[in-house]
Amino acid sequence: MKRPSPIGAVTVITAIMVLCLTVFAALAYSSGQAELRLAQAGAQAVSDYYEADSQAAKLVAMALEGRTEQELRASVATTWDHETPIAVDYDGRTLRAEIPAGRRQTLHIEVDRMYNVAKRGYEAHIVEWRTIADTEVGTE
Amino acid sequence: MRTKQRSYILLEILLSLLIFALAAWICLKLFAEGGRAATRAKELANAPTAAASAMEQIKTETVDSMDVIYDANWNRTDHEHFAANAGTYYFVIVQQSHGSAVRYRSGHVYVQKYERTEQGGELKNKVTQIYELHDCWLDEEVLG
Repeated sequence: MKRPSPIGAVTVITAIMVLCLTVFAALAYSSGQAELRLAQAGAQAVSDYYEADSQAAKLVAMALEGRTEQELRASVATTWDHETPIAVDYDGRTLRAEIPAGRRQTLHIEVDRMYNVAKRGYEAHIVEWRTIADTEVGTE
Repeated sequence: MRTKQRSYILLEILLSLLIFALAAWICLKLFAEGGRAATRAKELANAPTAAASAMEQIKTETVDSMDVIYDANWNRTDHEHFAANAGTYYFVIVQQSHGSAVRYRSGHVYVQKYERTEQGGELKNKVTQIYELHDCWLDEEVLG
């Protein structure tokens, strides 16, 4: 007489259900994690940009106060604690700086310090204030 | 013989139920974790935009601080609605400070999540900070 198989229909159905459940759960989990990673990268990019923007504005403010290039560089060296340094070039009239805004882009600024007779003080004239993707840096 | 076969089937059903329950418990945890990550992702996608928007707004105003309230779906709402209703809210708070350099004005932006629940007729807050921007330049006058 033939013995009944130990694996019956119940086991097969359970195995299929568990497999489906596992696949969908894994998909939901990985999709959620991927969304989170993307959102974190976006949030970090915004933070990095505003940090660079703030640093640029500080440099401009210092240039307007009449500080020298050495003073600007010294200030940057003490406040900027990131791996990639800030490049500053200032001749007393035109301030050029390249400030890393995250890992993949750089904030490039070029500002002229001009005397405003009506206001009896110096003011900044922006020639350039834009972010450049790192692949573009050095090709300009 | 038939009794023995029935006990086999019962044992199989019991074992299947046990395995299914275990797998379902693990999968539910995975679903929940995925859901939490998606919610956090939605918050992190909206918070920087809201923070930047509030910061740009304060640049044009003369106030020292301001806050903007969003509801759970990131639609703007007001203090009256927040005070009267339970639910999830997001506060974008901008506080400005004066930097060391002359004519330099900076600010900090905080995005906080308020989970308001009703307990014993009172609304209780659970506050979590979800995003912040530090030392952002606010002064338009610097650049003339």
